[in-house]
Amino acid sequence: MDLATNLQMVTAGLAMGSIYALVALGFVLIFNAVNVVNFAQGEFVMVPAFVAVSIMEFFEIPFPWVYLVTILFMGVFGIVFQRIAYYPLRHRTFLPVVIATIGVSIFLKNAAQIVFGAEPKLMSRPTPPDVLNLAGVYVDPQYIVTIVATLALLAFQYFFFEKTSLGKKMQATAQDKEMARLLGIRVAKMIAITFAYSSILGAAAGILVGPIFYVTKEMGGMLGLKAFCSTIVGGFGNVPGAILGGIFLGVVEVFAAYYISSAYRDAFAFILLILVLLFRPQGFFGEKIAEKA
Amino acid sequence: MIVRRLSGVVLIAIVALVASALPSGAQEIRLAFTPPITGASAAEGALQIKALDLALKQINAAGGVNGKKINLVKVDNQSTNPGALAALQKAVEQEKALALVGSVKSTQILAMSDAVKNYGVPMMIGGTNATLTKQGNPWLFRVRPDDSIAAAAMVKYIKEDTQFTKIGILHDSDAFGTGGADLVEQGAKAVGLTVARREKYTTKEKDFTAQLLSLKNAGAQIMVLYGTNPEDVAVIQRQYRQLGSPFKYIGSPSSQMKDALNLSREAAEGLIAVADFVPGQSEVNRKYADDYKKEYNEVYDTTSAWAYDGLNILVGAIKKGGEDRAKIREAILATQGYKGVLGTFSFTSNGDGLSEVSVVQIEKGAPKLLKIVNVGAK
Repeated sequence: MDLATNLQMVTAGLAMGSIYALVALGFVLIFNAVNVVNFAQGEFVMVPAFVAVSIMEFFEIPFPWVYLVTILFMGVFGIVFQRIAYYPLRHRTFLPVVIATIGVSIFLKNAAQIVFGAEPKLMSRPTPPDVLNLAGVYVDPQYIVTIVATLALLAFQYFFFEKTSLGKKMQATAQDKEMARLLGIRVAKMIAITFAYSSILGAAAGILVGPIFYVTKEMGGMLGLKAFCSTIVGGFGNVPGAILGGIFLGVVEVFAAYYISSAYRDAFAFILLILVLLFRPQGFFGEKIAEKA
Repeated sequence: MIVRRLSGVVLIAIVALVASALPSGAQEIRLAFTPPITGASAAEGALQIKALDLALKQINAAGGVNGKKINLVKVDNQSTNPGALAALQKAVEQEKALALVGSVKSTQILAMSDAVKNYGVPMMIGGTNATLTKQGNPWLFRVRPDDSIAAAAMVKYIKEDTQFTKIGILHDSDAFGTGGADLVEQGAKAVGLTVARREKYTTKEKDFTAQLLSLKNAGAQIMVLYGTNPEDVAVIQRQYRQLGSPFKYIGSPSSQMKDALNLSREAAEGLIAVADFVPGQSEVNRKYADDYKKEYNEVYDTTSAWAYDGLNILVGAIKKGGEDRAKIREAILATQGYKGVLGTFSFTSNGDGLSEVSVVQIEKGAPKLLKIVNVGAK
């Protein structure tokens, strides 16, 4: 096939993959911190998307302010979520917490329908609506913004976890709560911050995909599942693994849909998941998992 | 004391007996309507009742049928299939309805179909599943274009009104989309068009780059989109524009629905689609809009206007055939060239009233009529 077509698909795949990566990262951070898979992660994307759309509907304020308010809201949302779905159950096994996150997920979807209505909403875009024609490859500027914003967030995250004291405390908490506590780190606070950060990553994803897709109560469902696949493919609990897993999944999906079958597009993600679980259960970057367990 | 109470009971019983004997009396014609009054489709039901009440008011104001008023009984179908069947039984057995306006849901009509056949009672229906009128039940009369007509009309439009010979098909992989795409493909081949490529997607998919590029690279000159969910259609319209509109676009009715256009906005401008009808496309249609506005002080709902046409056609048939179900049936089938809100009705022997749909172009966010395509009796 010609180069333009393939490049076109790479761009679409990278953009989708970036979103998967952001959501996957949210999964991994919470998993590392409290050893629980948060099945409401998809709703962490849906809620901020609705919040941003509503702010735009009712107040005429510039995009950066909308985004800032949304991100702050989601920071608080993450802490409240943690207080409700994790904190009261923190001394139990992982299963009650997982069930609690599923409960919150169902609650949020239905609450969104009651508050925002069943009709999908269109989020205004900060980028021009016209596509760019780069030598025969049509690129939506929003795709470029999505990819760049994801890279920027990852760079920030690297700096934050490796170079700041707060980031290091959070890492220590994730690695060994007992030890961290002995060293005087306030573990409960670090966990709350991790949830807030994970929720903010969701906010970024919601703001970025809102203008490309439409905002519906169901938008987080498949996104959450695909992101979950990404974390497994990349190696569960592994940060670079989640990111590369997400991007890999996004690109594979588009190419498989084009060259093999478009009807089974969603199935490819899960076929990949099963293959990885069968032949490389630790994922592509899975060495660290043994360390963590 | 006891005697007095007893005599009261007897009196009530006598009144009840006399009353139950009365309705079959001569001064009115009893018809029934089985809309959803409760349950999931209650909102749709309320709109259908409004459309029907308007028709009823006009018919009775104009003197009813040969001096007799029409009495229309509404029996709740509870938005379910068993509810629809129960409503039919109640309408025919208790309410003694001569004929009915039934449901708009194909599955409910299927549930009622056998009983309708056993009673031998004419029922006007709004369900669009093409097979409903082709299962040997002579008592169902459809007053909306069925699903196969949209597909046939798209093919006919491409063949007769454009220069294109190579089409691409994109469709939802659900039963509705696949069925529609099958009809498009067969129809296209039958008239000598080439199907360059056929692609599908699953409901709620978000990225259609692969499908659209595949159609483009297969050399499709025009894409026929058979989508189910207006939300998916809106995403496709946007991404189609983002890929530089690599071919022309014609879509099934979902492509011109408000839900889709509200989301795709400027991306939908200039696209072509088929629609059951376009508000304001005919004089009858405009008059209905005015009357509805006067009666309810709101814009009429396009999806329930079939009930208005249904009752009018039914009453017209009663005028001709009298109060005899077999004669009413013949009179409905003999209805040719009747101008209704939805279009010009000419019944086929299967009981399909409409074999035309409108081809529209999206202009300033609303469908605008290009032409009415009649695909002829099947």
